[in-house]
Amino acid sequence: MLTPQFYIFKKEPLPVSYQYQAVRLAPSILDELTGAGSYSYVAIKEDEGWILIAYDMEKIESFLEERGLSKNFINKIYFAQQAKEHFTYPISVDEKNALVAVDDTVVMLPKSIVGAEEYGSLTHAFRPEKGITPTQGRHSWINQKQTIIVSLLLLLLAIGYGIEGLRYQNAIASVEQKIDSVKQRYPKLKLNSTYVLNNLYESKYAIDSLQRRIRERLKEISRLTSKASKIDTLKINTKQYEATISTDRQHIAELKTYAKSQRLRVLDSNSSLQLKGAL
Amino acid sequence: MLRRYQNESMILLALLLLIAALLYKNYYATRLQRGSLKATETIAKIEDVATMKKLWEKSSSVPQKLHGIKTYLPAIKIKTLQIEKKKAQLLLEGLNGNELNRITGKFIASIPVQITEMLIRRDGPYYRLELRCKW
Repeated sequence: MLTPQFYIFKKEPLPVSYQYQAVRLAPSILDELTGAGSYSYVAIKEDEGWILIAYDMEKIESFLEERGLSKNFINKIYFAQQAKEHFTYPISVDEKNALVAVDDTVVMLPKSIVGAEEYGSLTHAFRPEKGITPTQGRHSWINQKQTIIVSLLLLLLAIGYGIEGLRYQNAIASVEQKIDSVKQRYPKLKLNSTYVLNNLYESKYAIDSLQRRIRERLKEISRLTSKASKIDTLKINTKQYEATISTDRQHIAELKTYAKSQRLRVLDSNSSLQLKGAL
Repeated sequence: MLRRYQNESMILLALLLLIAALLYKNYYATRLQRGSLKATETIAKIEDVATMKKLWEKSSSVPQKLHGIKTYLPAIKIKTLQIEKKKAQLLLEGLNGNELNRITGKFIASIPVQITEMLIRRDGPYYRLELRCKW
C-alpha cells in the first residue's frame, strides 16, 4: 500500500458515468499538480464524484527495488487513499511517521505531530477491491502491446483451426449416418458388421465374377463359329473350358489369330483348333 | 519466474493452444479423409452385394424361366428338363447351328443361374447340349 508521497490525487465532481472517461480526463485535471515524470492515472468512483490519482510507476518500482522488493513478486499495489475509511486510528509507517486520515484524506505525518499513544498496523481489512499492477515484462523481449497482438493472432488462428476441426468431426458423424442409411435400405442383408459385409461381398463377388467369366468364354468361343467353322466339342465348368473347333485349312490361321486376340488359349491348330484354359 | 517472463508465457500459452487446435483439426481431417474413402468403399460394397444377391439368388423366377426353353425349341428336342430344389439339368438334342446359338446366347443370358457344367457335342449337322446349373 503506497503512502501519499508516491501519488497525487484530487476529488472532482466529474459529469461522467464510466471509469475510463474519468481516467481520460485525469491528465488535464491533475496537470498542474504533477511535475516532470511519466504519470499513469486511476479513477475511483465515490458518492460525490471521482477521486483521480496520478502516479509514476517507474518511480514506485525503483523505490521498491531499492528496498529489495522485485516488482516480479508484487501482484497489486494499492493507494492509501483507497482505504481511507479504515484509517480510524493512526497506522505506523516507520519510527518517525504515521498514516492518518484528516478530512477524508489519508496523509503521512510525523508521529510527533500525531501524538498518539498507540499505533495500529495494516491488515488485510485495508485491502481495496482494485489495485494497480506493476509494469510487466521489463525482462521480456517483447512489450505488452506486441504480446497482446501476437497472442490474439495466435488465438484467432487456434479458433479457426478449432472450428475447422469441429466441422470435420461433424462431417465424420454424417458419413457414418450415410453408411447406416444405406444399410437400412437393405435390411434383409443383415449387415451387422464390416466383417459380415466383407464375407458376404467376397462370396457373392466370387460367384458373380466366375459366372461372368463362364458367359464371356462361351460368347468368345461362339464368335469363332461360322459356316466354315463348327464346334465339335465344348466343355465348360467352374474351373476350365475346353473346345475343339473344326474348320478348313484356309481359315485355321485366321481363327487362331482371332482366338488369341480374345485371350483364348490355343493348344493345337493343325487339323482343328483346340482351345483349353482355366477360368 | 513465470511472472518475470509473463509476455513470453502468454505467447507460449497461445502458441500451445494453436498447436493443440492444429493437431485436433489434423486428426479429424485425416479421420474424415479415411472415413470418406472407407464409406465410399463400404457403400459400393453394400450396393454390389445387394445387386449380386438379387441377380444370383432370385430363386422364385428361375424354374419358370427354365421352362421358357420351350419357346425356343420344339418339345421333341428337349430330352430332359429336370428341376430339383435349386438345381437343374437340361439335355437338348438335335439342335441346328441357329438353335444352338440362340440357346448359348440369348437363353442362357436371360436366366440368372450359376452354370456348373456345360457340354456341347456335334454329331453331323446336329448338336447335343447338356447343361447343369444351380441358383
